[in-house]
Parts: sequence; structure tokens; C-alpha cells
Amino acid sequence: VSTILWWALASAPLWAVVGSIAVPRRYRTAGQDPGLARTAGTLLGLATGPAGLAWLYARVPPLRSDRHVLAPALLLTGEAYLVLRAQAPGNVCMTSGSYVLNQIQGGILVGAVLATVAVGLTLVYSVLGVVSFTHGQFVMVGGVTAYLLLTEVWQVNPVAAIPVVGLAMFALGAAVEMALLSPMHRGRVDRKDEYAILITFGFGVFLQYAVLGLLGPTSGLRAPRYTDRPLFGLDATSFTVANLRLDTNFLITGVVGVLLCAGLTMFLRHTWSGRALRAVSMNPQAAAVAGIDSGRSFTVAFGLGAMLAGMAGAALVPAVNFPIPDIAGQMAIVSYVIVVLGGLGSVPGAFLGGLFIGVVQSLGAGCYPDPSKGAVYQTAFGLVIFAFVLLARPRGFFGRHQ
Amino acid sequence: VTGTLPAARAAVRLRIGAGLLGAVGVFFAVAPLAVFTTGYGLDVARLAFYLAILACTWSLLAGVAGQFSFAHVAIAGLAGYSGAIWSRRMFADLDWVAGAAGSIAVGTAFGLAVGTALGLLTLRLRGAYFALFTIAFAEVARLVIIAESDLTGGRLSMPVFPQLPGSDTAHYYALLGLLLATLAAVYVLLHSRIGLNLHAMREDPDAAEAMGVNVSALKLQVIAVTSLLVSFAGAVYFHTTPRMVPENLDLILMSQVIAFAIIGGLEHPLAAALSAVLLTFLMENLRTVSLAGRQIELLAMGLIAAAMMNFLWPVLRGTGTGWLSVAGRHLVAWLAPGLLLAGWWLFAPVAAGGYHSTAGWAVAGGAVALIVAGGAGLHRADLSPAARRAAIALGLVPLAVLLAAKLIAVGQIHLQLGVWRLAVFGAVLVATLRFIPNGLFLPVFDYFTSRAALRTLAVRHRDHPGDGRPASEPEPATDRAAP
Repeated sequence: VSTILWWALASAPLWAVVGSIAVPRRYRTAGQDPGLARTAGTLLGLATGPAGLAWLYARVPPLRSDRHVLAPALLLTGEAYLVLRAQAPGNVCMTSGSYVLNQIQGGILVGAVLATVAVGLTLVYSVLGVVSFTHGQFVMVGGVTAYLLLTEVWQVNPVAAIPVVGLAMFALGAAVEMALLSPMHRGRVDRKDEYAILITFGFGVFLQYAVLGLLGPTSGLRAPRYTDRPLFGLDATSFTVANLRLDTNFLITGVVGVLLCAGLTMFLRHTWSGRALRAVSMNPQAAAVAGIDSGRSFTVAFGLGAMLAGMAGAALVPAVNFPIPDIAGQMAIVSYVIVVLGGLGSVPGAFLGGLFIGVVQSLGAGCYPDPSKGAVYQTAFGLVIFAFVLLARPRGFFGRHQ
Repeated sequence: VTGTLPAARAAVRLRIGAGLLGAVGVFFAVAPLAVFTTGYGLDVARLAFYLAILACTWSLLAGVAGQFSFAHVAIAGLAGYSGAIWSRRMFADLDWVAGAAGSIAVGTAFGLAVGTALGLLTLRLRGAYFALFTIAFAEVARLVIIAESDLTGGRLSMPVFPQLPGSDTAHYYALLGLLLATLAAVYVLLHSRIGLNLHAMREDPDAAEAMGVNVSALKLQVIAVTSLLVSFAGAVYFHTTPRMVPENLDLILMSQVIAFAIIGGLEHPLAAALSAVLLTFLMENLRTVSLAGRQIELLAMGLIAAAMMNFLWPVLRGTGTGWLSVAGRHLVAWLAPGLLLAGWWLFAPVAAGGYHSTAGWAVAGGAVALIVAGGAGLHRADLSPAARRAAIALGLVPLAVLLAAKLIAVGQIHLQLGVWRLAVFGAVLVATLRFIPNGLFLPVFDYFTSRAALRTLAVRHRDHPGDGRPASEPEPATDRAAP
């Protein structure tokens, strides 16, 4: 039985690819609306293999998101659970409900920080139309700045360092935009997209090496923890609510992440500058006609992106062992996965995607049979989701219709 | 050769380019006899050739075809790892030659398969999405190598057991030959119909598609071909090194390859390869360099001398054509800073207090005075406002450099260039992209070949008046340099 199972599992991605190609083609030739065809074909191929695809191919039913997208997705989740259960009956994730809940809880807290990073990235993309390849390095620089502030300058609770780092990172981001990206918008660059990729990547390389030159390669920066310099007498490293064991440092990190995302949303909705950013992201020409200086909006947006990334780094550094320079690559890749999942340019998509990826990573790392490999594979789970989203729904789940 | 400037320039470019390439080739062909006499030198040279192959093919993939793949290095590393794992696990008792050959074949095939699969998966992705996916793929490939430590040795390393037969020198020649073969293959590809199609695709995929170029097939072909080239190069190169480490797949290595390509000239694979070779040696030599404050000051003075020439040039271009005024301009522009520097260098150490003496400050003050004088002269020069602003900015840069260097020298700070060299490298990368998008080599090359072409045409025109257009006729604006 296990050989059959193995082959079924191994061929599932193949059927997903077949579904993602054949089903939209079939819908188009049949004159049906191909809007959901790719998502449905991929999911059904992955969940049921050739049987479901044959049904879809033969009947060509009008597609509905609940019946043809949600149902296969749920079926797939159930199948994955059963396969895991059959393969690893003794796994702690199968036997202990409270362990799973704790992993989810930890994942949400980390996910809030990841969401902050991703929200910054998606903001930059929605306004400038540029994917910043230096975003992970901004997280690293924010964290390093906070670390230096807390160890060399200030003996205060690490929360106090976050706004300071935010201001500095805003200045850095705005300066980078003015110096390196503004020629793009003034029509001084031949191929804008390629220039944007390369110049942001190149600046990331510079930041990475500069931090390495400053600190030398370290396995991790150990900054003072939130609980080392307690705020409101909060010096217990963890406490228990019902079955959940909350880590105080991660809790504060997560709360900071949520507050940052909420603050950005408030800024975008309720201030004139924020509205100007949204207007530019929706239609630059119309915004210019309405009197909005798009160049200034670009600078502000990139500065805000760098600020969010840097503040996320500053929030994270008192909670974890901050690896230099690996953190830059890790955060960058996680945030790419999140924004592609949520849809490039969508702020709520990035936030929900961040929480989702946080939970997936936490569960994946916690449930993988070999814990040391599980920790390394955290990012790999993200790539699998990435590939799947690209196959099934390239504009993400909250993406705008272009 | 017709009498037009583009044609003459193309001929001259080909001649000078082939000559340059030949000279570099001859140098590296005889270098093991005289220059790289140690194993260390040969090691660095092999790495340089390997990186040159990567930079050259990446420039083909990204610069010519517009596919900004960050998985290039990872594919080569995966090829090396898969070959090594195959030879270690499956056929440990094969003899050296068969083991190494089989391992290289397996590695190349695996790299080609991975590259093609990546190409298939990303066929619909454009621009940033493609870059995002490949960067994530590269990082995950490295993580998988680290995680599967029972197969790959993980973070530590894994011995590549069947080394290629022969000495270090033989390995050196193997890599050199491989580099030349790769360059030849890329050159032929670029000058075939495929090269034309690639250019068309990069400029506008939709227009190319409409003109009958099969863009999907072309994308797949170019990623497959470059994967094949780098996989083979990787498999061969790693069989000349004792161990495989996960750093062979690192994005840091990828960023170096990208930087080499950009600094050399992104759209020109040959320039990218040349820059990779030169810069690898430069970076390796800078590894142990540490500059004392006064050496930094010396360097800064050199920079200032160079910058001042630039700065004063618009002022000194002047209008007089008599030999005296021309000579005077050259004297001030070229000789004065040089003399200043030489004088400072010769006399400052023997003056009381050495480099940080009154004499040092006096000479520095003299340089500042010259700059200020030049600035005053700007107001008389016939310059556009933009050019004047640029000249003033150019003049302020050396001033700032000078002050910083003086402070460093007074503070007796030791700059560990070995530590900071990569940051400097990153800054050069960004500055090149921002200000000289064609790279550092090609503008210089263009400058000299254009002058040579003009000279050729002038001679032709003198010898055969009426043959084609006169040399003074401006070239058509649409002429773009062919790679």
C-alpha cells in the first residue's frame, strides 16, 4: 500500500501542473469564463489527481469559488493530514493538541512581525511599482541599530529603541529613494524594471557588507531582552494562559508588529499624506492632475517601507538570536513569499499572509520529525507555497485586478 | 569596409577587441610559468575563471535575454553537489578517470534538469516575479544542502572524492580552456539568429512575439543553455577543489557574480568575463591589505589630483589655440596636481613631524586653494548651469575626501581594507549602476575605438577622397554598439 501511496503523492504535483495548463485552455475553447479555471484546475489536480481533472474536463461546469476552489482546498488539507497521520502516527503534532495550539500561537506572534516586514514591501511595490531587493537588509540594519543603541548607548527597555530606529530608517530609506530610485521616475533610465531590481539588490549587497565590516560575522547578536529591563514589572520570561505557554518577549514583539500594521493602516486611511500615497498607487496620472507630487510620494513610500522593515528588525532583536547577515536573506525571502501569497500591492493581503506563513513555518518546524532539519526547512515550506501560488493564482489571493 | 563611421568603428572594435582578448589569453596561457608559481595563485586563478564563466553566462541570461535569474550560482553548485554525491554513494570503487567523468556527467545533467524545470515553472513570470522566485529557489537550495547533512556533509563540507587527474597546472589549463570555450559558445550564440531574437525579446516581449519570435521557447532555450554551461563549469571546477561547501550556492557568491557583470558591462558577456577575472584577483589581493592613516591620505591626494583634472578641465578648455595657451592649460590641468602630490610625498616625511606636519597641512591647503581658484574660474567659463553645478559638485567631493583623510591621518586610524573591501565593492557596484549603466570597461573601449575609427577614416578620406561619407559627418543617432 505504501508504494501506491508514494507514487500517488509523487505524481500529485504533476497533475497540478497538468491542471493549471489544461483546464484554462479547455474553458477558453469551450467559451466559458476562465477566471477561476487555473486555480480550480491546480487544486483539483493536486487533491484528486486525474479523476477530478477528467470530470472538470468533460463537464466544464461554471466555476464557483466555494465549490471548485474551497472544497478541493479543504479536501487537500484533509488528505495531507491523513497522509501525515498514516506516515507518522507517533509524531507529537498528531498526539498532542496543546502542542499544536502552542505552535500556532507562537507562529501568529512571529507572523505579526513577518507581516510588518511584508507590509512595508507591499507598500513600496504598490506606490513605486518596484520590488525592493534590499528589504531584508533593512530589517538587518534596523536590528543592528537597535542592538548598538541598547548595548552601547541606552540602558532602557528595548521598546524605547523601536521609534528611534524607525526615524533613522525612514531617513535612510528616503535618502536611498532620492539618490538611487528617483532617476527612474524622471525618465532617465532605459529599462526601469531591470534597473530597479539591480540597484536595490546592489544597495542590499553594500549594506550587508558594511554591517559585516562593522560587526564581523557573528552567529547571532544577543541583545538585552524585553524582560531584562522590565516594563510595568513584566520580568517573567513566560506565563501560562489556559493551556497556552506565552513567551513574554515574543508576545511583546508580536504586539509591536500588530500595532505597526494598524498604525500604517490608520496612516493610509486618515491622513492626507496617506491618502496621497493611495491615490498615487491607484493612478499616478490622475493623482498628479489632482495636485499630488508623485516624486514626494515615492520618497515617503520607500521611507515608510524601510521604516517598517527596520522597526520589525528592532522589535525582533530583543526576542531572538539575531544572525548576521543570514537574517537579511531569511527575512527577504519570507516577505517575498508573503507578498506573492497575499498579492503584490495589497496591504491586508500582506498582513494575513504574514500571519499564515508564520503559523505554517511554526507548525512545519515543530512537526518535522527531525527538529534540527525542521528549523532549516522553515524557509523551504515557504518556497513550496510560493511555487503553488505562482501556479494556481499568480496575482495572489488579495491582489488587485490589473 | 565602406567609408562610413559605423562600419569603420565596427571593424576597429573587432580588431582591437580581438587583440585585447588575445593579449589577455596569451598572458593567462603563459602565466603558470612565471606568475602563478604557487598552488595558491593557481587556486585563485581557477576561481577567477569559474566566476568569469558564471558572470559571462549570467550576462547572457540577464543582460541580453532580460531574465534576471538569481539561481545561476545555485544551479552550478547543485551540479557540483549532485555529481559528488553520485560518485561517493554509487560508485565508490570506480577508478579516478571514470569516477570523475561520470560524476561530471551526472552533475551536468542534474544542473540542466534543474535549470529547465525552473525555466518551465517560471515561463509565465515576468520581471520582478521571476527574480523573486529564483532568489527564493537559490536560498532554499542552499538550505536543503545544509539540512540534508547525512548526504551532503551539511554546514561543514563534503569531500569531492574523484579529483580530476593531473597537477594543479593541468587543472588551471582545463579551467582556462573551459572559459575560452564558453566565451566562444556565447559569442557564436549572440551573433546567430538566436542572439537577435534575444535582443528583441528583452526590448519588448509582446512586440517580439508579434514579429514571430516564439518567446516561450526562447526563454526556455536560453535558461537551459546557460544552465548547461554553468553546470558543466561547476562540475568541472568543483572536481579541482578538495571540498564542497554550502557557500558555493550562497547568494553572496551570486551577488559577486552580478557585481562583476555590472561593473564590466551587463549587456556584454565578454566584458563581464574580463571584469570577473580582473576583479577576482583584485579582491583576493585586497584581502590582507590594511591601510595606515597616512597611506589613506596619500591615496586621497591621488584621488584629488585625478578629480581636480576633471574639475578644472571645463575651465581650462578655454578658447586660445596658440601653443603657449594650450601648453599652459595642460600644465595646470595635468602637471600641477601631479607635482603637488609628488612634492608632498617626497618632502612631507622628512619635514619635522612626518606626514602630519605643518608641511602636510600646507600642501593640503594649497590643494584647497587650487580648488577654490578653479571654482572662481568657473564663473568666467562658458558653461551651461547644469555643467557648472556638476563641476562644483565634482570639486567639493575631493575637498570632502581630503578633509576626511586628514582627520583619519591625524587620528592615526588604521583602516582594515581587507574587512571593508567588500563594502567598497558594493558601493562601486551601486555607483556604477547609477552613473555608468554600461559598465566601466565599455565606455573606455568605445572611446578609444571611436578615436581609432575616426583616425582610420581620416586617413582613408585623405587617400581616397570621395569614397563614402567624410569622416567629419556625424554618425546616425540610431547606431547602437553591437555586442
